[in-house]
Amino acid sequence: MTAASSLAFPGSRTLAAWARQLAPHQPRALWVGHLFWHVVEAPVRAVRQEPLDPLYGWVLRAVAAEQRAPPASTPEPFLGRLDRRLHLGLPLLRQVLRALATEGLVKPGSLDRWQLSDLGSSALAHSAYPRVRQERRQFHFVAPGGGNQSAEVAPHFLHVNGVAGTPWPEGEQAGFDVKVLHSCIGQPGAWKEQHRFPEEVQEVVQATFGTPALGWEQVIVDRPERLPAALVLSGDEGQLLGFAVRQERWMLNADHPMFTLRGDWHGPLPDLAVAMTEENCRRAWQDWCCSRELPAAEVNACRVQAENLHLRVTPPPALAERLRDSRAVKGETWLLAGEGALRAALQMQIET
Amino acid sequence: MSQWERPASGSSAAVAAAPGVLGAERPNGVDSSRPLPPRWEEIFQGASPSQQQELLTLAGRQGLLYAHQLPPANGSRHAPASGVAQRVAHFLEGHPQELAPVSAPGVAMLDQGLDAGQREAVARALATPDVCLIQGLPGTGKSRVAAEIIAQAAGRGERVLLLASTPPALDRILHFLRERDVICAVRCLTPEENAECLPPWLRDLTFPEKVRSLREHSVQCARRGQEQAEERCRRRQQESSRWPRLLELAESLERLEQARMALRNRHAGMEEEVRQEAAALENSGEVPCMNEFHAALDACRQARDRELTQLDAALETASKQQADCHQSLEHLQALAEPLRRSRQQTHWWSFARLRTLFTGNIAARLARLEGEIASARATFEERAQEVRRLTSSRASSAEAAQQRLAALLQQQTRGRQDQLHAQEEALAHEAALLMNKWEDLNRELDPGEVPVAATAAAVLAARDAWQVQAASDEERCTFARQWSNYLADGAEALAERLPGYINLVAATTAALPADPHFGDAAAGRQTFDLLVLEEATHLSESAFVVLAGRAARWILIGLPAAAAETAPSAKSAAGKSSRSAPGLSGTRTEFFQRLWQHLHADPSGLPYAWVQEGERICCRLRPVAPEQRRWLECERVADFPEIELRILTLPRQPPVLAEVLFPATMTVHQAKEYLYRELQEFPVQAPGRSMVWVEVPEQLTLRLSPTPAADAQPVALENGVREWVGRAPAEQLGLHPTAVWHTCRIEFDRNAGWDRARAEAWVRDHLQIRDPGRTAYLEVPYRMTPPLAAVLWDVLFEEFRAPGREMADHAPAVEFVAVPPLTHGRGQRERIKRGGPRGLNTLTTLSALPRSGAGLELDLAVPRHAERLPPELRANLPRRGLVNYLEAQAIVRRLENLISGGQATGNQIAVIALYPAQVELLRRMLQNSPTLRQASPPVQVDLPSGLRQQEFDIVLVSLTRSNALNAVSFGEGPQALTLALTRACRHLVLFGDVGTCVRRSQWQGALEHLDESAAARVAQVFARLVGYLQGHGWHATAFHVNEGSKI
Repeated sequence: MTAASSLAFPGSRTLAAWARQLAPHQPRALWVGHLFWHVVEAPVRAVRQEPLDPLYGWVLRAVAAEQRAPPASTPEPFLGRLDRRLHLGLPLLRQVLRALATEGLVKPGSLDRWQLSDLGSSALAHSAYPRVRQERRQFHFVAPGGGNQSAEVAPHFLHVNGVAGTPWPEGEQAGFDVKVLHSCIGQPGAWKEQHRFPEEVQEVVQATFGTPALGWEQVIVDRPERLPAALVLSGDEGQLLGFAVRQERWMLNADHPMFTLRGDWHGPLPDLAVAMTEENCRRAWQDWCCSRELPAAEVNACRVQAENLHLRVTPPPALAERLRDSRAVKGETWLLAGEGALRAALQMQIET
Repeated sequence: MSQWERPASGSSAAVAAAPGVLGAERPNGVDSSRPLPPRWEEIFQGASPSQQQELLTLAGRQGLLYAHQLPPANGSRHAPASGVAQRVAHFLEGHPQELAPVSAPGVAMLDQGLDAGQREAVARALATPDVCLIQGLPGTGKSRVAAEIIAQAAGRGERVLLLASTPPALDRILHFLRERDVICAVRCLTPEENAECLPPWLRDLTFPEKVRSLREHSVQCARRGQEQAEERCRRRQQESSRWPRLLELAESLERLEQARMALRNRHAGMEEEVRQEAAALENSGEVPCMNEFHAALDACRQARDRELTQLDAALETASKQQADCHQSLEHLQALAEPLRRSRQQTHWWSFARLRTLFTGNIAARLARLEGEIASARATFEERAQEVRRLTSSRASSAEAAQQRLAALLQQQTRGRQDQLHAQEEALAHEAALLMNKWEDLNRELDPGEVPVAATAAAVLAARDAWQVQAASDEERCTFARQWSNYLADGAEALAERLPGYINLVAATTAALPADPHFGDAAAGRQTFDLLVLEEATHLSESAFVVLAGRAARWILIGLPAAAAETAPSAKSAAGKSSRSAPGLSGTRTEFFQRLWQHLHADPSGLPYAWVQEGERICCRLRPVAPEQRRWLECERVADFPEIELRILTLPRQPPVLAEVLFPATMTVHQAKEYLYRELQEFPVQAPGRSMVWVEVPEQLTLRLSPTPAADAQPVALENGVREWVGRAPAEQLGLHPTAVWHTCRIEFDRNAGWDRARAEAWVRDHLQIRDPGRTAYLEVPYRMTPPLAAVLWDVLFEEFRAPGREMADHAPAVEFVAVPPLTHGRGQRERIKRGGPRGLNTLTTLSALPRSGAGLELDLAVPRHAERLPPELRANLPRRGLVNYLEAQAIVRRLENLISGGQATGNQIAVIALYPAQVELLRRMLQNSPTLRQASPPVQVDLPSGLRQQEFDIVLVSLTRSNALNAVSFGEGPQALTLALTRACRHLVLFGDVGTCVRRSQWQGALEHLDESAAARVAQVFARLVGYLQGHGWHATAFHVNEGSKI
């Protein structure tokens, strides 16, 4: 468990700089903080529709033709006949056939008589085929509640592009439940499309539960990670963009979002809405004022309203006067609202 | 290739953007100062076997592994060899007990000539999940085994990386594999090599040549195939017009045949036809159309009828007359009868008697009547005869008429048949003409496509088959055209993909990293399922770790430790080139030998010994040092007092049973049974250095000796388990002077329920030797004949005695030609009889060998030495170097005798000299010899390194050195010497100065360029050689000293 209080957050200047960096994305809201996720490396069976490689296509055609060919007056080995068509040489031809067999497009018969499989025939007819692969893949599941293990909401799949965080030393109790991955695989296509879950992943290839895995390939590994990030609610379409941050000197990689969520981003990241509540905004304002030793009564009397990236504060005249005199508000002032690992970043605007 | 892909990102987009290994590049947002977490694969591969098993078990129990449960991994993510290093370290530093033993199931060998030990080596190499070491002395078939392993692995779809220190080692294995089309091999060139200098079959294996073949040969062949297909299609088009004609002809021929058949049928039925026609005419009297035949027939019948009618009338008259006569006769008979009865009546009271009495003249009347009766009878007879005559006449007439009729019918039949025959002949003639046309047309078709018969059905069937073939040809033509175009356009792309289809990459350890296609810098670093590392003896651990990162499993092939010290190193092999092979171990045998010692279960190292003590057999259960023998206490077995137990009671140590002494009456088999039954001891003294499992359907055999003992007898241990014990061969006595019994094999009967796993477990339990199944030792020398191997192994590798193969060849296999001859007071012959193990035979020996050299060597750098050579030879020799002209002359004379005597051809002989200048001198002298100049192929003369991985029937070795003053080195060192001596298969002839050899054998310490260790090895070799010169060798009968008189 990682307490949000122990996490570091960027200051106002950093936030101001990030706001400028993120301006091209037309941010409507900005959250910063730490994403906690499980990086699950799992063996899966993936099926992708792939175009038939031209060379493979020719070899399949040749195999099919030799299968159909009328019997010759002088019996000749199948591979010999095939090579008389292709002229690749038997060693190379064998390797190409073996590659085709690995793809499931041909199958060897007795006496080296290769023949098209059903998949091969289909591939030949459609110039494409569903390519089945068993591979180890990484899936990111964002942990709600800032990695707080007491959160009852299950981790949610997040489609993340090539980032890596720092290890999140979590105990065994908060470990990832493989059922979450299984349930994602079992979701309908619309869900997968919405959350950009790889549709080609058909199943988790795993040894029978309770028995030792046959090999290292069948083992699922869960690595909890933490990654400083800035999240932007962008444009009119309301898509949420996630940007990775390097904690050292708070460097934001604003060029390439590490993930994009369209539509229902509250599902994967319910903490974001929590951070934006009026109460949190007011508390952020109060904390800011408190650190400047402003009178609590005047501070509490302020009207505070979050609007897009701004925290509009309408102070009573006395406080407004006090703020002006004390020069507490210089340039852009950014506040962080919320108490979790992800907090809303708001630029303070004093309405007078 | 594994069916598993490397981990990729879960995102399809990410896969498209960065396919391949996840984390191969540092992703966004990662602190560059922080090392990336190691991948699971790396962690797992770096774990010890026990850790691996624990992790797998844990994963199975939990369903997954958590990060905190993973063991720490050493090294960075970008050092793929780090996991390998850990694995290697586990093998070197861990406990062999941690390794799950590899059970190698029997493999159907492609090379049927492999022996059981070699098969076991192949099976173990294929079955190992990680590493397998194969060891053997030169000529024991290591390359052949490597070739079989590679062929088998390739047949299973694996990619193999074959590495060796030197190109000849690679090429020898590739040579074994060149007929295997299951292998698509590439031979990487070293920087020093030029493809043009390689033999054609090897050149074809180089990558540029393969690409060229693909670009040129395949494209050309495809074009040629296209042209042939098009030509065939054109021919098909021409042939297509022939089928209607063939069909028409066939139909005509069929019609003709039908007509002929009808004629033949009519011909056959003509007699009946005519007969029926005649019958119809006779019955109805009418015929549809009257013809000549009918008229004749009618006339014939009418004549018959007339004649018969006349005869019938006469017959009727005669018959009537006959009847009248008969009637008259009967009347007369009736009249005469009462008279006869009256006269003949004897009873006087009868009426007839009375009438006779009262009627007179009865006799007269009776006589008259009798006369009339006789007359009437005669008339009747006449008439009857007339009737018979007439009846006969009628029958004759009827028959004659019938014959005339039949003749008429026959004549008619024949006439008509003649007509039919003529018609049939006409039809046959017509058919023959058509058949000629048929055959002419058929000749234009392929023989296989000709209709089987000249019938419409056959033509249609043949046409259908032809159409199928034509369609196939058309399809082939289209395919050939398109394929040819594809190849022409896509040959480059295909060439780029070629590395992916190569399933055997053969490279030297030095050349691989720099290879553009398979090296470290190649695009998409190639990985392999299996690494076969030949000449692994001299590789360092660090170099191996780098190489091993390329493959999942490793097969290391090398020499035994003692042999490795004398065997050629890659460093010396690379000595010819400017750069030396990297990764050669400073302490040469360290890594391979350490690994071997760690993994190999050597049954010959078991502490047991069965020895003879007088007439009693003693089983030594543990070695007892001479100084410890005083602590031995004897105790007799209570219920078997003839058996004596010797218990070692060392101070402050618990007593242990050390030896068991059996009575003279007990055989070794009884002793063994007793020990197993009563003491549960299974003391096995094994002569072999490895355990080889041989499986046959009925039984499993653990072979502990490479050769069967002729006198071995079984010892029944338990149900279905037998130990075969025999006498140790003489050469084994050298290792254990008093050990006389050894175990050849242990057999397990499958019928008794033994299988491989159970038998292995039994062996582990009883033999107390755990074989991880990752090593194989090749013991049987194949390159050399048994006598040659026996002598050479004795001289070069004293610790490794050649297994006692049958030595049928009694001709000396090794000959030492003394130059100068020994007869001039330099050696004295005497016949001695030696006893003991090292002098089993009565030999003619040289008791007093010269103790110093003759000084025949010439240093070309010294002018006065060079002047001793003939001017024509001196001219082009190197300015520096050692030559021995007298020795060279002796070699040339021997060569001339061999060649002119037809004992060998040029390619069966090689001459090896230990010094380059001597090589050059010999080459010139061979050129000057008319006999040898004409030898085809020419005799090879080279340094030892030049003939690496080659073998010849006869090898002549010029030792060259002949120094009168000092002990001198021979060649580069022990490696070169070993290489020179192990090239021969059948006969080895050494030319040398005996005195120099003797002095070399006596020199202790470093010498010239040799350090102390190398110099000592050479000295040992020469000491054993001198021993043979003195007749002291183990196999002295296979060694012959030519004292020089016959040179």
